[in-house]
Amino acid sequence: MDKLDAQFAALADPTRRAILARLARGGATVTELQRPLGISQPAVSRHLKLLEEAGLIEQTRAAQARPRRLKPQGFDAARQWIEELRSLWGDRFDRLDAFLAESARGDAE
Amino acid sequence: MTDTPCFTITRTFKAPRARLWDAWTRPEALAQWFGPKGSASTMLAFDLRPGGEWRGRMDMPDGGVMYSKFVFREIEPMSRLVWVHGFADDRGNRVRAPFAAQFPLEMLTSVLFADEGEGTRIELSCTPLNASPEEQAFFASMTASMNGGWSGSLEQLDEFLAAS
Repeated sequence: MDKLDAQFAALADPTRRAILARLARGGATVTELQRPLGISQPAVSRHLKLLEEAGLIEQTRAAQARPRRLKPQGFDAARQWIEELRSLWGDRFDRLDAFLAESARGDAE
Repeated sequence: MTDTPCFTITRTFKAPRARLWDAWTRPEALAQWFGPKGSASTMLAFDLRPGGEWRGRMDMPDGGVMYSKFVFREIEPMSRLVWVHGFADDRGNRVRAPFAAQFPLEMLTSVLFADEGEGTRIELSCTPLNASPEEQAFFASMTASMNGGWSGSLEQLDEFLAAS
């Protein structure tokens, strides 16, 4: 629950969504992220911190510049929720289909 | 962004619109298809008018019991049905989904009925209700990503999520 709250907050900001979109194309350092956004480096770092706390991105430790990258599993809770709805209504529509076919047969008899 | 549905599903059924409307608005018909798979559902109330309640009890295969409470908002015969969707306790008080704490407390569910050839197209959408703007934005962006339609700057993220 807490994690989802953090994700809501993290994703509500357009700059942070832009950062995620950029990282989806591949890992990037703070400097690389800063340039197209046109905001200060500390501001970028603050956004990255929030995204990291929400479990949506992670730091790569290999290089000195510590490029950030997306954490695919960070999006799991929300995807699960949508999948739940999809499966619930999909099943329900299957039963409605069967019910319509059955009652049509009943009418014809 | 706040009124973006978080979830939509569309299907065309091989039956005229009048039969679809009947299947969605007659309690005896609903009892035969609406309840969750494998559960026995009992209709406790069905008052088809704006503000009217549609309440049900679901007895799950594992012995658990859940109660649903929907409140109708809009009823346009043969074309549109809108209700506030959520769970309840045995006295009809609103509670969170017993199986998933992160589900929104209430969702607005809209069902549109339209002719399509000989059949009827049903378009259903769910939007979290009274959710914070952050929640709304979150659900909207996640759904768009699931549906493959995240327009604008987030297309790349969409692809990334689809591939991961």
